[in-house]
Amino acid sequence: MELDTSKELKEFREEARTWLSENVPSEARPHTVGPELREYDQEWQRRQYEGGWAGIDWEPEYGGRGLSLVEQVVWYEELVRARAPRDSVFSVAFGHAGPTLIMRGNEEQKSFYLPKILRGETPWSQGFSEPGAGSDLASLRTRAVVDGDELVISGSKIWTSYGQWSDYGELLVRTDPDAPKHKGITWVIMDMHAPGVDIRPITSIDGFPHNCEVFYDEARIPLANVVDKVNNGWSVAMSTLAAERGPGFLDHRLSEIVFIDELTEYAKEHGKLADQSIADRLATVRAEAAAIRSMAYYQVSTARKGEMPGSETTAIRSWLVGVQTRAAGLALDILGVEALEWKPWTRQWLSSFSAPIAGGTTDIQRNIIGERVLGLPR
Amino acid sequence: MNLAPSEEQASIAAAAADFLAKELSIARIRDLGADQGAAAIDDGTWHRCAELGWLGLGLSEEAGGVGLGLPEEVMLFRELGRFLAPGPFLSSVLGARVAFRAGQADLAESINSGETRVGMQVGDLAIDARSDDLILALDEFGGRLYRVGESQPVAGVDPGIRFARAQTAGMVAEYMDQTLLARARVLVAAELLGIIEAVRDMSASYAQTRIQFGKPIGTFQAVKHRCADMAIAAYACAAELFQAALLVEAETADAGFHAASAYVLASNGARRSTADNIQNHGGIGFTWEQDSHLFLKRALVFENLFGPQRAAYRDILAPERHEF
Repeated sequence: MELDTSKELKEFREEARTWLSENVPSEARPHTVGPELREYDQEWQRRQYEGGWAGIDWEPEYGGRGLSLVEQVVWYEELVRARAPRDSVFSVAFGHAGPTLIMRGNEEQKSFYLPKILRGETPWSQGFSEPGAGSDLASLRTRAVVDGDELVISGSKIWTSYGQWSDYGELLVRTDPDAPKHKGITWVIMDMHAPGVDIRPITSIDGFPHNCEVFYDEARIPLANVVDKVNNGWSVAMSTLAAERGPGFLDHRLSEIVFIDELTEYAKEHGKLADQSIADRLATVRAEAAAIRSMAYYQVSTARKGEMPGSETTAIRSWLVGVQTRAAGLALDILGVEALEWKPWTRQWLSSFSAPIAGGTTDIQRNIIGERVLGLPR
Repeated sequence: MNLAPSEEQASIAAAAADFLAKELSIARIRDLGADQGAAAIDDGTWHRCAELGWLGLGLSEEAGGVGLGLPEEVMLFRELGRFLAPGPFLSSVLGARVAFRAGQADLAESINSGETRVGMQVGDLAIDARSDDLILALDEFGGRLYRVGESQPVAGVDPGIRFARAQTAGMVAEYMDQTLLARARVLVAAELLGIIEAVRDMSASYAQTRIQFGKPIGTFQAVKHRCADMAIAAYACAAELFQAALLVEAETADAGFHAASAYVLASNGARRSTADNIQNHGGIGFTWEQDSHLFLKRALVFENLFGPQRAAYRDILAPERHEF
C-alpha cells in the first residue's frame, strides 16, 4: 500500500483533465437506432485518437501510448469525471476484442485490427451466446467448416451487442463436433458484412435494441481470421472474459460513481434526504460505489501487464452488478411518482435488469468464485 | 495508488498471525472467557503484545512507537479480527495517540508499553475497562481519556469482551481532532475484514467436507453462493479499506468519506457473512461449542462501537461528489 504522489502522474491527470474540458462533445449521445449513433461514437473516438488519448496502455506500434495500467485507470477516471459519453459502439472493441487480440492474436492480426479500433474506424460486436447456449456457453453449435483457406460458418448467435453497428465480430464457432465440448471451439474474427450474415436487432425492455440475433448461412471468412489455433477457442474465450473483468470496461464501471453522485445531488436539492430510509440507502450505495474504484486500483496493483486477471476479480463484476441494481432501484424511489414518466432514470432502471445477466449471469459468476477462488467442488 | 500490501506490510500480518495462532488460539480465548471475573486478556500476554510493538505500530518514534503508519496498523488489526483477539487493542492504540498528541508523552509511553490499559466507552457501557484503567471516549470531534473509578461488571453478548458500567474519575487527556474517528473506523473495518475472511474460510472448508445426499454440500448452489458472497464482500472491503488507510494517513480531503465507507462496507459484510456462516454449518453452527457464534457476536460489538451507523452515513453523504 502506497500513495502515488509522483509528479508525472499528477501532470498526466492535469493534462487529461484539461484536454477533456475542451473536447468532450457538448451534444448528448443520440438515443436512436439509426447510423447517427455510430457516427457520433466514431467522431468522439477519432477525436480522442487525434488528441493522443486512445489506447493509453496499448503498445505505440499499434497506435497506443504505451503507458502503464495506472495511467489507463487515471484516464478512465477523468473520462467519467468530465461526464464524457458513457456508452459507445466501441465498447466491445476496447473491452473485449482489443485485449483478446493483444493477449492471443498474431502479429498480423494485431497490426491490422488494433489501430483501426483506436482510430475509431471499426466497431466490434460479440457473438458468443446462442439460443441453446447461454450459461452453458461451451455447448454452442454454430459450425465452421474449413474449406481450403476459408472457414464456412453456419448457425445463429443471440444477444450480439452492437451487432447492427459493427464491422467485426468476435465469434465462437464449433470446428470439431466430435471433440469434447470445450475442445472443438475456435475464436474467429468475423466480417459482419460478409454475404450470408443476417443481423436482426432485438428490442429490449427499455425499448432500445441493445442486442441482435445474427444468422450465419454459409458465410465465408479467411482461415487467417482464426485467433490462436483452430479448436483452441475456449481458452481464447477465457482470455476475453478475463479482459472483461480487467480494466477494459473501467469507464463503464466508474460511471456508476458519477451516476450516484447525480442521485445524491438530486436528492439533496429536492429534499429527499428527509426520508431517512432514502438517506440510509443512498449512503450505503455511495459507500459501495466507492469500492468500485478502489477495487480497480487493488486489481491493477496486483496485476502484471499482459497477464490475465485472476478469478478473484470476478468479484469485481458481481459487486458492480449489485451496486447497479440497487442504485437504479433507488433512483426510482427518489423520483417517486415521477418515475412513471419516461425519464432517463426510468430507462436506466429498466436497462439495469441486463446487468446480472449480460456477460454471464451473476449465478454463474458466483459458481466460478465458489469453485475457483474458494475451492468448492463442482 | 498501489493497494497491494508490500512485503514488509505482509510480514507484519504473517508475524501477528503466527503469534496469535500460538498464544491466543480460540481455545485459549474460550478459557479466558470462562472466567468472567478476570480480564479478557492476562497481563503476561498483554505485555508480550506490547513488546511486539502492537500498541505503537503507527505512533512516531519520538512518541515511543514503531514509526510506521495506518496501513501497517491495518495489517495487524485484520489479524486481530481474524483470530478474535481479546483485549483492548483498539482503544489502547488510539489512547496512546490521544495521550501523545495531548502532550503527555509519559502516559503515551505507559500505554505503549502495556503498563496502562485503555478501555472504551460505548454508550453507557465500558468495555474492557477495569478499575484504575483509562477509558477512551471517542466522538466525531476527537477523543478524551478518563481514569476509571468503580467498575461494575455487566453480562455482555461477547464472551471475549468484558462489559461494565464504570464511573470515571476525571479527565486525564484530551485531543480534539476529527481525523481520530476516521482512524478508529479504519482500524475497526480492518478487524471486521479479518472476521469476514475468517468465516469465509470456515464456511468454505466446511462446505468441502460436510457430506449430505452423498456429496459435499459445497456442490449445492445455495451454499456455494453464500460462500461466494463472503468472498465478494471481503474483496471489496479489502480494497476500500486499504485505500482509506492510505488517504487517512495522508490526511486528504476525502479521507473521512473513505474511512466511513470502509467501515460501513465492513460492518454490512460482517453482519451478513457471520450470519450466513451459521446457516452454512446447519445445526452445529447454532451450538455454543462451535465457533461461528463468536464471530457473529464480535461483529455485532464492532458495528455498535461508534454509535448508530447513521453517523457514518452522514459522513458518506457529505461530499458533493466523489474525488478522483
